[in-house]
Amino acid sequence: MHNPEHPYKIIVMGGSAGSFSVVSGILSKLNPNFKIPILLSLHRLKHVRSGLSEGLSLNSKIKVLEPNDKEKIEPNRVYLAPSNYHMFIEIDGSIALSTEESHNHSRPSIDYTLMSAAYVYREKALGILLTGANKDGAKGLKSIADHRGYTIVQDPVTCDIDTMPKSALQLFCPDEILSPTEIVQFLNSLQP
Amino acid sequence: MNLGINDIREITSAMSAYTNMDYTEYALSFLKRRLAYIFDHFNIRKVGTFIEALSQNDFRENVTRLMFVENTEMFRDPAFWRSLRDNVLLKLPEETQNIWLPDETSGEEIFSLAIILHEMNQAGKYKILCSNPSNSICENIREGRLNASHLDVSQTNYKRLENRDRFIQYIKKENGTILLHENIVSQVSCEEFSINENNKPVKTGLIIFRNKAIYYNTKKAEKILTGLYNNLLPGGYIAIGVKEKMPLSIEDELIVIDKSEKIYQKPLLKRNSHHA
Repeated sequence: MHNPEHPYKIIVMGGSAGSFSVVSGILSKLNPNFKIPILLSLHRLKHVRSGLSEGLSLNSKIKVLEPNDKEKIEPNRVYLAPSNYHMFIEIDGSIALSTEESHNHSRPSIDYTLMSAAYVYREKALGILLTGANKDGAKGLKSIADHRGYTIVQDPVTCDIDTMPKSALQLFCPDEILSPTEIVQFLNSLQP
Repeated sequence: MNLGINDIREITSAMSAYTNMDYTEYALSFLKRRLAYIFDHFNIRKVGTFIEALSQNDFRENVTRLMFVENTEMFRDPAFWRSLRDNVLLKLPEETQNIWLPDETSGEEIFSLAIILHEMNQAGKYKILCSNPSNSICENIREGRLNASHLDVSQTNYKRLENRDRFIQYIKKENGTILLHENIVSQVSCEEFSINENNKPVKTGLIIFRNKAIYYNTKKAEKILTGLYNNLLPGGYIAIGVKEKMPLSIEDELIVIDKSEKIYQKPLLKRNSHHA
C-alpha cells in the first residue's frame, strides 16, 4: 500500500483508446477539493485542438485546463497535454511543452510525461496507466516505480482495449491493479 | 543516457566556450532529454568524451544541428495559417522589406508561408528570410528538402487550410528525396546566423517564431521575444506558438490580432514609454 509518510505531490494519468470515458468518470467522482495536481496525457488527434478539455470539464469536479508552456503547476487543477505537444515538468514545478519527435507514434507521449514526473518528483509521484491500444506509458510508469513513486494500472478486464495496461504488466509489477471505481476510491482516500 | 543536473551544467558550460553554442539559458528539462538524444545518436557514454569531441568542427556542426528541434510538419495549426493569410499578409507595413523566421529548423514553416504568399500572388513583394546558425540546416532549406515522414500530415493540413487537394503539385521526388519545387524554394532564403547575434534583418514587417521559445528558460524566452518585438517595424506583426505567451512587459503594448492563434501587432505609436 501507499506510504502515508510520502504524500504525493503530483499525479500523472495516461491513456489512449477508450480512456476519455474512464478519465471523465474519475474526474466526476473526485472530491472537489482534491488538492494534488493531476497531469493528463491522453492520446488525441493532432489536428483537433479543442473539445477534449471542454468535454472533460463538463462533469469534472476540478478545473481542467490545457496549459501554456512555462505555466506554474497549481493544486486543485487538472492539466491536459495539448494536442500535438509533449508535456514535461520543469524542475521548478512548471509545465514545459515540446514539439520534439513523436514517441510511439504519439505526441503527446504518455511515457514522456510519466518519466518527467518520476525525475522531478521521485517517490512523491503517483502514476496511473489506463486503457489504450499501444505500449506508450509502460516504460514511463516503470520509471515512476524505479524512482520509488506509486504506480497503478487499470485492471485489463475493465479496459476497452488492454494493450497499454498489459504492456506495463509485462514490464514490471505495479503497486495496484484497480478498476476505475477503485481508482476513484484510492485517490479520494489520499485526501479524506 | 541518464544525465544529471551537474552533468548538464558541465556540458553546457563547455559548449558555451564555442561560437553559437551557448545553451546555458535553455530549459533544464529540454537539455536533459536533448543532450541524452545527442549522446545516444553518437553512441557517447561519457560526458568527458562529448566535451573532448567538441573541439572538432564537424562534431560541433552536428551537435548544433541536432540541438534544434525539427518543425513537426507543414501548415501545422491550419487555423493559424488561415488567420495569418486573412488578417495579416495583405496588411504588412508599407516599408516592409523582410519577413523573418528566426531559428528555422527544417523548412516547414518558411515553405508553408512561401506557398501561401505564392497563392496570393504576393511572393515577390518581400524577402522571405529564415536564419539558423547551422550550415547543414540552411543547406537543406536552400535545397528544398522535406522530411518524408511529415508529408502525409502536411498534405492533410494543407487540405484543411485551403479546402483543396493540390499540395502534391508543390513537391517532387528525386532519388528517394522529397523536394519542394524550385518556384517555391527560390522565393525563400536561409542565412547562417544565430538569433543571439546583432545582425537582425531591418525593416521587418512580420516575424514568425512559433514553438521555439518553449525550449528556453523563462528569462531567455522573455529576452528573445522582447528583442524580436523591438526589431519589428511599427505596425509589424509577430506570431508565436499557440501555447506560448508574450512577455508581460510588452503584453500591454501589443495589439492582439488573433488571441487563439497568438498573432500580435506592434502599434504604430507607442502606447507607453517603458520600451525605448
